[in-house]
Amino acid sequence: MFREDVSERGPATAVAVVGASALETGVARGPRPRPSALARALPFYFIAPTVGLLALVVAYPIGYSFWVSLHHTEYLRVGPAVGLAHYRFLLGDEVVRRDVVISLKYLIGSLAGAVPLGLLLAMVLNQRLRFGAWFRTICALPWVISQTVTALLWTWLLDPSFGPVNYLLDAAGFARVNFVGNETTALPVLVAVNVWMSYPFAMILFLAGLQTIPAELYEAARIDGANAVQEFRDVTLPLLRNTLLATCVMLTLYYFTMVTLILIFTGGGPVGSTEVMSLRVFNEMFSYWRVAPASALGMVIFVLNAIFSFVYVRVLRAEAER
Amino acid sequence: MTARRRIRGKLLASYAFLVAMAVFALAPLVWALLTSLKVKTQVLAYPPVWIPSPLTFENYGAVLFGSNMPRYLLNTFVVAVLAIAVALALASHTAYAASRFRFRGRETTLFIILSASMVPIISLLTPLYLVWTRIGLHDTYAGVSLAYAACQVPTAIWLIRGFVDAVPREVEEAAMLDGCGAWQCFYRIVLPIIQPGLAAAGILIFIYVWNDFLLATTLTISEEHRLIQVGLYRYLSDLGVEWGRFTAYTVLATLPIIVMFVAVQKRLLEGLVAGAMKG
Repeated sequence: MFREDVSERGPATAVAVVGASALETGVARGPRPRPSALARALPFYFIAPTVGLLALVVAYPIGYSFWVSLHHTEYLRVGPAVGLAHYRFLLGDEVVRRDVVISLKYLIGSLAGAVPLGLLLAMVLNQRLRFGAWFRTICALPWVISQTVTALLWTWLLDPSFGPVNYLLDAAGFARVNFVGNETTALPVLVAVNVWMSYPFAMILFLAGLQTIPAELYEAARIDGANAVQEFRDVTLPLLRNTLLATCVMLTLYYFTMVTLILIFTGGGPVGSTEVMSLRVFNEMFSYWRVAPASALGMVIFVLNAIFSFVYVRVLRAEAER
Repeated sequence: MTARRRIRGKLLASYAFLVAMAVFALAPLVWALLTSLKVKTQVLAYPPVWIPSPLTFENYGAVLFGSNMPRYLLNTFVVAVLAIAVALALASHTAYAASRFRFRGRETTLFIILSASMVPIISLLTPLYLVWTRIGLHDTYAGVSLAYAACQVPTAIWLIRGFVDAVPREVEEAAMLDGCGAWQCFYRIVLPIIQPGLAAAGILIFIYVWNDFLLATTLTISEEHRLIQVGLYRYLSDLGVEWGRFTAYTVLATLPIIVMFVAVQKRLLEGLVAGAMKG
């Protein structure tokens, strides 16, 4: 087997020494024969195609994007180098600052909706009720609905003249609301639609986490006279901590880089009130063809994402070592 | 007595909450289905008509025979199959290596592969468009498929690796004694055993490709290569407010995914959890 020390060198060097060590194969030297060079090169052959694809589609474009962001661009032509000018501009730009604030509101609002909803639902479903599987399937459904469909569907549900939501408001004696066309309501409504689409993700992960908590712990808590609140605080929360943390982080990364839902639902408007940072990147590039600023802002989002992921991995590792 | 009443109260509250959530989840979808079956006058009727009468399939006919939707469906299938083939071929080999081989730089390599999945699509969009245009991959099946495959390979690796880890090593060791090499071990023994893992990963990739709008709208431009979500969006903006047609389109574009999800949800959810917890 290759389990132990197939190669003491990296997979790349292993290929380089194929010729040199070929002679040694088959010659028993000591109690444990060295694996042949071919065997040492094996991991390389198994992994190289994946690395190649990721280099082409992810690594090279990201590097290229950084290079472009340091240049002046006109339409798709890359002109002279301008250093960090685009980044300096972004730092000072008021619209960018506004977009950052909108991004944060969008992120925090969506988390505050999807996480408690998903957790509550998971806890209810974890009781092994009758028809529980049915309810789980139905409640998970929005997860497979695309962002495009979600945005268009809700556009219509909330339509100010013909939509059923406004009809219900009307029938209940409230004033009609032009949800999407109104600066004050557009962002909250967008967050609500996003919660509709993404709470199942939290629910599914929480349910998986809850199922790893042994039932005996709850029994023991009950024998000790714990009420529902104490049970939740002293059993569920501590044991679900890692799942909670991981889910929040994944949702954060997801929300922070979302484009499609917002692009189709509001397009960033009205008057820019729902333009999050990632949508700004899309518009800079594919509406105005300002390639370098789009690249620069894209790099900023990439770096923020990377820092956040890195911190998260560190926290998880520290957690695991404790 | 009081304890039993409390349990019953809790049960009642649980069901009430579940019903409310089920309505919240389903109502928009049911409303779309109902609308797609209405005649034009009922679609825009006020107060809204809840149950369509007469039932009509006119909207479906218009979408299926009067629009380019079938072409977009075909395109989406082609791209999804290509992406799945590439991603599974690469991911299964890498997962096997990650599970069975010990070599220097192993952790680093795997970490780099995982990091690639952390790169947000929005940061990749601009350069990917530029690079693809330059090397002739823009607006081709291969171009989008490769992008999808790359986006999904890291998740697929972590998902499939779980299945490889579960294959008992004794099986392979026995085969090695019979003279099987690593390649044969992988193709003849491990690959058949991990088929459920490959299926789960394949389904996840299919849903991803089917539902994606962002890469599709950036990396394709012509109708010959347009994918279903972009087609749906364009259909609505070209047509204006034709909600009957639009909802019929939506139902046709969403139903395959819903059916697939309900049919294989157990495996799918396991896949999602495994993929999500890879960190």
